[in-house]
Amino acid sequence: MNAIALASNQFPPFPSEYLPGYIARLFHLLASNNMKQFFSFNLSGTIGKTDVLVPKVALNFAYVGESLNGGGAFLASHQNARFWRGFIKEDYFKKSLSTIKANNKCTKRLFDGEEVLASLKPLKWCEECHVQDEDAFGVGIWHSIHQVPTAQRCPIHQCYLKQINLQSPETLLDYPVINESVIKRSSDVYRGEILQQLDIWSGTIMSRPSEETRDWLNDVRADMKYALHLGVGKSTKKQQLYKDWRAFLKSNDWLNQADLQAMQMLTTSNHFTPASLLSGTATTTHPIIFMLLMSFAKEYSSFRVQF
Amino acid sequence: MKNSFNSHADETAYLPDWPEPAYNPMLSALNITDDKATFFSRCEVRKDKRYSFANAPIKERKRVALDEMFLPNELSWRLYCLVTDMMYRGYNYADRNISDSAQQKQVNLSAFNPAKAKGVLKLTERDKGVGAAVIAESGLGKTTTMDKVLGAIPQTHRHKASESYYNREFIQVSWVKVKFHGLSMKAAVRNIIEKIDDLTDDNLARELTDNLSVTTHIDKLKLHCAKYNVGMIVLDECQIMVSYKKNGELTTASKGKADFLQQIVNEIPIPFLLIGTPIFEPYLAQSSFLYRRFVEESAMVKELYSVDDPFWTDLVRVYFESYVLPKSGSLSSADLATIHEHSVGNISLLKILVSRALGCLSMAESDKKISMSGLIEMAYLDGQNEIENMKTLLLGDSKNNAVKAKVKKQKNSPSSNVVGKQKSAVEQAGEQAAQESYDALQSLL
Repeated sequence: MNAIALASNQFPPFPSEYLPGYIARLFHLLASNNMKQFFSFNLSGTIGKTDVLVPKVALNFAYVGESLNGGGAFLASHQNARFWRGFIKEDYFKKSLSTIKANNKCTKRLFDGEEVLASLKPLKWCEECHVQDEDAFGVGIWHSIHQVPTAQRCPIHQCYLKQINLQSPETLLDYPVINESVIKRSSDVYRGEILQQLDIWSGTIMSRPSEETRDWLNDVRADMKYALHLGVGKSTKKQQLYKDWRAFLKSNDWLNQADLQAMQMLTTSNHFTPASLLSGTATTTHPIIFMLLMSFAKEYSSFRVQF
Repeated sequence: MKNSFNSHADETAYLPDWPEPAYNPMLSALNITDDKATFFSRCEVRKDKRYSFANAPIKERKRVALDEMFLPNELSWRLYCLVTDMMYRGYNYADRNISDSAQQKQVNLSAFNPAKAKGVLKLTERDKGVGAAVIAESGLGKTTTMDKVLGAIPQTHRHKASESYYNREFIQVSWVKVKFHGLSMKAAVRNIIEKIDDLTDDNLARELTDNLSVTTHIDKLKLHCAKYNVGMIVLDECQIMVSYKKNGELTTASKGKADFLQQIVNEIPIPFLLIGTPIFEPYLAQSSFLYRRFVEESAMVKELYSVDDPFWTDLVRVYFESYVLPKSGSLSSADLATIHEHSVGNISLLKILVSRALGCLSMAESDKKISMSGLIEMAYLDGQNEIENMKTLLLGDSKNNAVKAKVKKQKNSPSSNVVGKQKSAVEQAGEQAAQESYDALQSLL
C-alpha cells in the first residue's frame, strides 16, 4: 500500500469534503513538516503551485488504488466533481489528467478563461453545515458543494454562504478547517442578480450525473445557437450581438469585486464571443462563462433553459 | 410476607442485565484470553517438548536454552492480565473505536482543537493520563517476560474496510515498546515514533530533529498515535532516568525527565506502562501526579524465587535436565538446593550458571563421565567471580533501594499530603513490602 492510500485510510475524507480542503487537513493530521515530500507523496514528482493546490496531489487521491482509466472513485461522491466533469468531455479530461500526471508540474488548465476568473474563487462555507460538522466531525470542514464558483447558497440548507478571500501568500494549508480565525475573517457571499440565476442552475447540474449534463449541454448549445441566430444571418446583426454581450458582461453584476483583467479579457478577446463559444470547437469553455452566455441568451433572445 | 431486610440480591433481581459492549474491532484484534492455560500455550517456547537434545551439539543446546526457551509463570500471567486490562480500558471508549464516528472526531479535535479534545477526555477521567509500572529487581526476567507477554498480543492488525465507520481499511498498532538508553527525552519520543514507523512503513521519525521543541515532539507523537490508534506504550529500563547527587537529591536532568514523563502522559491519552528496577519507584513518588498514575497501578515484583517455588524448580529442571545434561537423569533435591544457593533464586544468575555448565561440558572429553552435582560445582567455580560480583551488585542494590524507598517515603512523602488517607495505606504497604524484601535478602546473604 502506498503512502497516499495508507494516509487516506487512517484519516479518511468525510462525506462531501472538498478535496483540496481534505488534503490540507490531512497534511496537518500527518504531523509532517516536509511539505515538498507530502505533496510528492510517492516521490513521483513535486507540486507546482501550492497556493492553489493544483491537481497533481488531488490526482493521487482521485485514483488511489486504481489505474487511471478505471479510477475516479475517490471523487465519485463529490458533487463538485460532477459539476466540473459535466462541462468537459471525458476523453479530454483523461488526456489532461495524464498530461498532468506525467509532468512534475501542473501548467495546463482544464478550462479556457480559468485564469481570469480569480475573483470567483473565494473559499465558501455554510453556517448551518458548520454547526452540523462540528457535531459530527469535531471541526468544520470545507464542503465541495460550496466551492462551485457560481454557488451562492447552500444546496442543503438554502441559506446564503459565507466566504473568505485568502490573501497572498496564504493558502488553504493555513486554513485546513473552518476555525475561529476563518469565521472572524469571513463575510457574506456576494449576491449579484445574475449570480443568483447561475446558483440555481449549478445546483441542478450538481444533482445530476456528469453524462447527463454533457447531453443537456449539447442541447443547450444548439438551442442557444438557434435563438441567437448564429447559424445564419447578417454580420451587422452579429456585430450588434457582440456589443450586447460585451455590455452584458460589463454590467459587472456577476463579479463579486471589480476584476479589470477578467473584464478586459472577456470583452476584447475574439475567443469569448457568443459565436466562438458556440462554434463547437470551444469544447472546454469555463462553466461560468458558458452559464453567463446562457443568462445573456435568456435575456436577449427567446432562449429558455430547460432541464 | 416479605422480609423487611431486603438483601442486595433481591434488589438486583429486578435490574436489567448490563448491556453487551458495542462491537470494537480494536479489542477483537487483541485476541485477549481470560484462560491462563491458553495464554501459557501462546507464549511458552519449549522445544525440548518436541525434540530430544541428547545428541544436539552443546552450542545449539546453549543457544536454544538461553535465547529461545521460555517457561511462562505466574509473573507472566500477572503481567498479561495487567497489560490486557490496561489495553481493554484504553480502547473501550467510542473515541478509540474505529467503527464509531467519534474516533475520527476525536482525532480532529486533538489536532485542531486540543482544548475541546481534553474536555472529551475529562468526561472519562482520561485527561490526566493512564498508566502502570512494573517494578522488579534486575535479573528477575521482567524484560524477557514482558516481551513474551506482549508477543502474545498481535502488535499490528489490518482491519477490513467494513470494520471502520468510514469504510476504509485501517492499520492498528496495539503496542509499542521502547528502551531508554540514557538518551534525551526528545530522542526517546523519536524512538517511539520510529518503532511505529517500522511497523507501518511510515517515516515521520526521519523528519524530527533535536532542533524542534519538546512540545512539537509530543504533538507529533500524539498525532502519530492517533493515526494508528496505538493501544499502549511500554517504556523499559526506566531506572535510567534516575540519577542522584551526592547529597541524595535528584539531579536537575533527572527532575527534568520526570517533568517530561508527566507531560507526555498527560498529553497522550493512551495507557503507558513503565518498567524499571526498585530505584524507579521512589523516583515516581517525587511527583504526586506520577505516583497516582503509575505506582497505584503497579505490579511490584520484589521477591526472589524460593527454592521450593514450583516455577523455579520447573525452570531449573528444564535447563539442566533437557539442555545441560539431557543424558544424565534428573536433578536431586540437593542439586536443586545447590543451584538455588548459587543463584539466590535469580533468573539471570541461573542463566550464568547454565551458560558456564555448558561451557564446562564443551571442555570435557565426554559428558557421560560428569555427574550433575559435579557439573554444577564446576560451573559455579568457573563463573564464581562473575556470579558473586553480580550477586553483590544485585543484593546490594536491593538493599540500597529498599532503604532509599523507606527514607524517601518517610522524608518526602508527597502522596500522603496530596492523596490523603487512602494513599497512606498504599504507602505503608509499599514500605512494609520494601522492608520484607530487604529482610528476605538479608537472610539469603
